Amino acid sequence: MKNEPPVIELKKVCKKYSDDTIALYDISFSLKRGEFCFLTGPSGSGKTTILRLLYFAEMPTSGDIMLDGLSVSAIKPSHLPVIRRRIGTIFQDFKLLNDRTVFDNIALALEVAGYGKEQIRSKIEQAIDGLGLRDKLNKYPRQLSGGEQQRVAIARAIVNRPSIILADEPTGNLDADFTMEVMDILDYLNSRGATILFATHDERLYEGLKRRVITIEKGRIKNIEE
Amino acid sequence: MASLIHRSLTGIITHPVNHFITIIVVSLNIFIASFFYLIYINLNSLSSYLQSSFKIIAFVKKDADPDAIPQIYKKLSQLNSVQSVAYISPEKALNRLKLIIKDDKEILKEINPDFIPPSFEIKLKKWALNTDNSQQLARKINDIEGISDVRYGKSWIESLSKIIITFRTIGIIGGIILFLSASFLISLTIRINISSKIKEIEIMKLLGATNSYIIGPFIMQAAIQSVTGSSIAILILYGVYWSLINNNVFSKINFLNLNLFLKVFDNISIIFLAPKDMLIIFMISAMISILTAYIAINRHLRGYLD
Repeated sequence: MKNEPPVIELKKVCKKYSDDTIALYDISFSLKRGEFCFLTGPSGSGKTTILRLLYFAEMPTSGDIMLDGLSVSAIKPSHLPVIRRRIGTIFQDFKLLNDRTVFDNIALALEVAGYGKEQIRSKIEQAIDGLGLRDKLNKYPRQLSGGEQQRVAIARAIVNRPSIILADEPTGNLDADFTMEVMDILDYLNSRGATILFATHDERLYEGLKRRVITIEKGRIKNIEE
Repeated sequence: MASLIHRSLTGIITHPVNHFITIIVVSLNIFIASFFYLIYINLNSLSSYLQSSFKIIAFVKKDADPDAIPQIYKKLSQLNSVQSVAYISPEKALNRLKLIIKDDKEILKEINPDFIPPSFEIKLKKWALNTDNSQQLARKINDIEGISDVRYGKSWIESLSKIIITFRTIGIIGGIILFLSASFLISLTIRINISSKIKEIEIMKLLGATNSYIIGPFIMQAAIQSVTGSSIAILILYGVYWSLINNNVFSKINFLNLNLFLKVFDNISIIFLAPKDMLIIFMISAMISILTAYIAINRHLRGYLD
């Protein structure tokens, strides 16, 4: 177990855009399997860019990203969709499709992976267990509260049983009660083995918790609090 | 495939307004382009009819030996640009004249047909139907021994040549303009339609959808839209054609002094698009829609690495 490679590892990662804006400088850190790590820093510090690199919306300008010991630069573009299915993503704006029911929104993650109707139904049943969505499956996102919508987004992120969950300010649009609810769900998923990287600028979320906190400022790592 | 069809149809059912608007735009543009094409093929058919009715009349000398007639016939038939030669005897010519002046044919009752010289009616091959060729041929015919005079509608063939060139030019330029404007409007509508799906595309990419999984329904929807739109356009066009034929529109254009012109239409019928033409219209419409959808969707996918 000691020799197991980190689930996520960033090695001297830099990101420069075509307009010469430098979003990240020399970022290096790693996450062990089953770790729950906070990525924090003010708005515009580079947290979202790191997450975008991790779910392959962008490629680093230099440096390397390793997922389960596999270098991202060595992954063929045609294999990226398969790898994305192993990563669950949760966002501040939920990214739900308003013209689809809760069931259809969650099912989308399984449909793209090629699952059949019966498998989809059974996997959704398992995923919503403990998320309090059983009686909401036929509702549309606009009929749900913010907290409920985020639970749907979480259900969609975990329905494929991903080993990594990337959360980008998932509580940013929620009040205190819903925020605690989301934190509890993520804690529960972490206890079941998921590796979680949680980006937030709200320090109240990690204060007093025995979690690693990586602070980013102006695209550089300012501090790693073990 | 079943999943692709299901996803495509679900997309149409959940966003009926977008798809309805796209189908209307496709129908309208294909209707305008097809209507123009219908006019073009009918004008072409008219010009072919007018071409086929063109002939050169060669009059035989009155004192010519009757045995020389077959010789002249042979010489005329051997000319390169000649399609057919018909001998018109004085009797036949007189009968024709009687038919033309139906009401006053009594005037010709006592007339001896011999006052009309025998003649040959010469029809030209299609490629030879132009001013230069007909002039040249008329000269050659005039040089044949036994021919006294050659008549042909010089100004008529000149006008016909101009009309044909004008039809073709209008056809080509108009066709290109209509094709481009139809392509532009159809592609614009499809692009707007796809732009409204950016969020859906982004979410599907995040969830690990392959490009072909995302592109498939858009292509199929574009194909459905183009086939439906083109079918509606062809049906409307047939309706317009049917009402033109059944209401005999040409006979109602009496306010202009077009009697002679309208007589031409008595001999030809308005034609509708051939199955081959309809197939071409369907294929062009489908090509525009599918290609546009493919380009538009790829533009949105370009933001991703795969």
